[in-house]
Amino acid sequence: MIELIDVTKTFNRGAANEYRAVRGITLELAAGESLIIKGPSGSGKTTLLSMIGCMNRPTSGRIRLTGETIAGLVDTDASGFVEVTSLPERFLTAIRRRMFGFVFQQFNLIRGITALENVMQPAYPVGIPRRQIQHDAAELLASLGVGHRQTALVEHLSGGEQQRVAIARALINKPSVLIADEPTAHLDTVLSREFMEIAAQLKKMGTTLIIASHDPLVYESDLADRTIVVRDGVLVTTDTEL
Amino acid sequence: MTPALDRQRNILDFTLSSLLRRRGKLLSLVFIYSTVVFVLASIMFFTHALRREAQILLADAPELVVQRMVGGRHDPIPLEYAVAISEIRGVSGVQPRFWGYYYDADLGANYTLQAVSDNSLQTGNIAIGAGLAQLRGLGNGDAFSLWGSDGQPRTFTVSRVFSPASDLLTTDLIMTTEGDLRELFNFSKGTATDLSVAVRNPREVQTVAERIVELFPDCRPITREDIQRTYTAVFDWRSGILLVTASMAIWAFVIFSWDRASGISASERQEIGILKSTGWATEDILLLKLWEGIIVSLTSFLLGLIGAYIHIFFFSAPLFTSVLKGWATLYPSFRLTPFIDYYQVAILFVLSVFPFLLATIVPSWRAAIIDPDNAMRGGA
Amino acid sequence: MILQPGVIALLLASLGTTGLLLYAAGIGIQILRGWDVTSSNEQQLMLERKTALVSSIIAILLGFQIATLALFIYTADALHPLFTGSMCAVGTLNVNPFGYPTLLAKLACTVISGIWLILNRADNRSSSSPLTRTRFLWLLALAPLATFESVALVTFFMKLKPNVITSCCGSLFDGGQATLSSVLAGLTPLPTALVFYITAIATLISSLYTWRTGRGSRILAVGSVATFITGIAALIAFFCLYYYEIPTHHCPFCLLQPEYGRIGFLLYGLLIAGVITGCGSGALERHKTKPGLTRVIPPLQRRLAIFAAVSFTIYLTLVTYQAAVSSFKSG
Repeated sequence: MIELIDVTKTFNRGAANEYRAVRGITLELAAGESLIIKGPSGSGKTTLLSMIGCMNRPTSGRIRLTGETIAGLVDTDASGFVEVTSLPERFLTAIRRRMFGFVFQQFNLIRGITALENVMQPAYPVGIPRRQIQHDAAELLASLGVGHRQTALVEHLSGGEQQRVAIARALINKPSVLIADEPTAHLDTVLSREFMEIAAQLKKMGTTLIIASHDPLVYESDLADRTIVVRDGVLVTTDTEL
Repeated sequence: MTPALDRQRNILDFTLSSLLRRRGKLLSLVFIYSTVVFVLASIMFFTHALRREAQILLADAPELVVQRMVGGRHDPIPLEYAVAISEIRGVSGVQPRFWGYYYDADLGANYTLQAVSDNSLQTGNIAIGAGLAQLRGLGNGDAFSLWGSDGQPRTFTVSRVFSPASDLLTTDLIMTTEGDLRELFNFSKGTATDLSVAVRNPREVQTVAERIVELFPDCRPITREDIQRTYTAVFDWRSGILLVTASMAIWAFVIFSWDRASGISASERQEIGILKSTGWATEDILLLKLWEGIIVSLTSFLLGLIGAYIHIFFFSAPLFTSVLKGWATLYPSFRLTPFIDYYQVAILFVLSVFPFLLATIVPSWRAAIIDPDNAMRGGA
Repeated sequence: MILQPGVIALLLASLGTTGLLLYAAGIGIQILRGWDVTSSNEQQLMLERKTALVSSIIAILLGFQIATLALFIYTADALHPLFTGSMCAVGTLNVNPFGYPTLLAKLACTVISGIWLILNRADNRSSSSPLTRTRFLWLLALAPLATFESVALVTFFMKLKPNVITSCCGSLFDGGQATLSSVLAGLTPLPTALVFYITAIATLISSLYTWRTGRGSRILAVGSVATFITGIAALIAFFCLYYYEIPTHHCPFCLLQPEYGRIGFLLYGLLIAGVITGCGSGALERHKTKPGLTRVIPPLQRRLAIFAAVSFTIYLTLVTYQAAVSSFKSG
């Protein structure tokens, strides 16, 4: 459902501080598959994730997507794929919020509003009635075991609770792909294990997972269908486990 | 509801909650904004109310006043003129008027002295305006002295004080009998200060005025319409000058709002980054900012407007009576008749809300184009 | 020069919006030069983002134009006592030759910004943004028009000398001058009304046809312009008599006054809405076969057509109702 063909990303092109973050990565990912991207910090993992997640566009190469969640949003080619490489930003956004949910390294929750409102927030511009969003968000929080913390301000939540709120937020628009960038970097072992359990459940429900991490707890788990290593923006190995 | 409406409502809801979260910033902006509206609205309400008062008074003024000019200056008019003018077709009556100004050196104030045209006063009695009565501590039956043009004081008895309702023109007024006024000012016999002419058909005022100039080339007829026009122009001009001065305040305000809108705080920047990374488009953030501008504008506009209304109509404009009425020491302390004129409100809206929206549009866009992957890279 | 608050507000608003529009036109030139939809680089991304800025500017501009259009007429009305022979806005606008051109330029700006936003909407629905060049060329046409409007407005107020003898709505018949409104007011009432009814009904049929089939938008555009013009002509020559109930009063602006329930806002608003949507539908016609727009434009055109039809129908109903129930009977 996701295809990357010789994708590169160069920042500050032509300037003295030109920096090639991703250099010619080709990658294919099927629906329901879970992929773990290994690599040291600064290896281009985040840039790669942000391109897959339609946050920005590659400098060259192609990215193609398909899936029910984005059907009808943009014209597809004969094989049912959407070429997102040079789509205008507003379409990237529309695709992103239907297809992808994001869990960030820092949870990136909005302070000063409640856990529930944080979860609801990505659904606002989609045009769903507020009551519906509220209901979905409450349900998500409950299923993640933090239903009782709905009305608490996020800054009053513990690290683990914040993590769950962030996951609930990523799921509010019912994405088919969950992208997580170093999700366990700020968590202790117990909480990291909890995250992996949630991820395993999502996988069981059919969600595609893309997780970038250099935490052994993540890449040595049996969650991954496939683990790839990125170093200096280049795909080093593709080792299939099991 | 359609998805488009739901989107509007959701974003509006979110805007409100994020404005309330930044109460401090919001309050300081609304305070300055509504002060600007308050000043503008006070100026406009006040001048407009004065103009209305003047027009109401002018409605009772004579249709035509004839003055004699000598060397380009107003001179007493011979009473024979009145006879000739009353014979012009369409003229229904001519009334000679006697009036003049009196400078009170003690108070540094100017009074208007005018002779009554009927027998409502007796010789030696005067009727005075409420402002003068208050300033001099005078009441019915008290004595009041004026210096004649021969240098001798004359004492009059106050027989009436005008009610405060008719304040605007009567506050500095002293009414006397014709004989007393002539004696005091040493007016020569057979002349009047000017003539008030009544015309049967209002449409013929202009024709009558032309006829008068034909008969007496040294006369200047002034129609009520002329006076009204001058008043309108004067009041517009006064409020115009004030508004031009105030527009400097507007410009300062524009720069301020530009600064406010573009200098978004780090936390706000991070928040927009989060919104964008979780699926808000540039257009959605622009909408959020637009709602923000509308909410801030309308709140401040209404606050400023209500404040100005109370200032002008309940407290009689204490903040700038002296600036606006300025020409006399004895200014009226009257209550202006409250009114709401939609045209004035519309002007105020354009003067205050437009500059704000114009000033915030580019900064809002700057905020809206924060890269969505900012949030992935650990915030701003 | 008359320093009236309304004048200051109008000058400020006009200079502000024109300044912003010229700024937008500057961005438009950048976009026309650098636009490359196949590129995914940062420069193209910046240009895409700038189109969002320009859209916001035009949307705000449209709001401002509509508001200042009304304010302009009200200000002209408020200034009328300064001019001998003037009884309302018509007299003030006749004081010098810049009054009516300002009004018309404002009207044109309103309609064109409306059409621009329609093009913008169609373009934003398409992933390949095929209308970008078209709409920024339109923007480059709008900028001089807005500049003209500002210049005419400033000149009009600068040259406004009190005490000029002018002709007004009551005297338009006897005055020999051929001003725009005197021509309109001088039209024979019944034939004008008849022409309006024929035009409006033809336009309605055309808009319903476009709504049903998605075709015939060009005819609809022509029809809505014709309905707009004959609608105003018939309002001044015929229907206003039934609002004013005075046989000789043909004023286009007194309808905006509270004495007549400010019905003019609704009537003119409906005509403007009709002409914008009708023309918008027509302006999209030549682009409907462009790749990326074939599925975007037809539904949009049909929605615009039904909107135009509804606007004109309400207008038609209102004026006909007034003519039917008014106690005034024209001879």
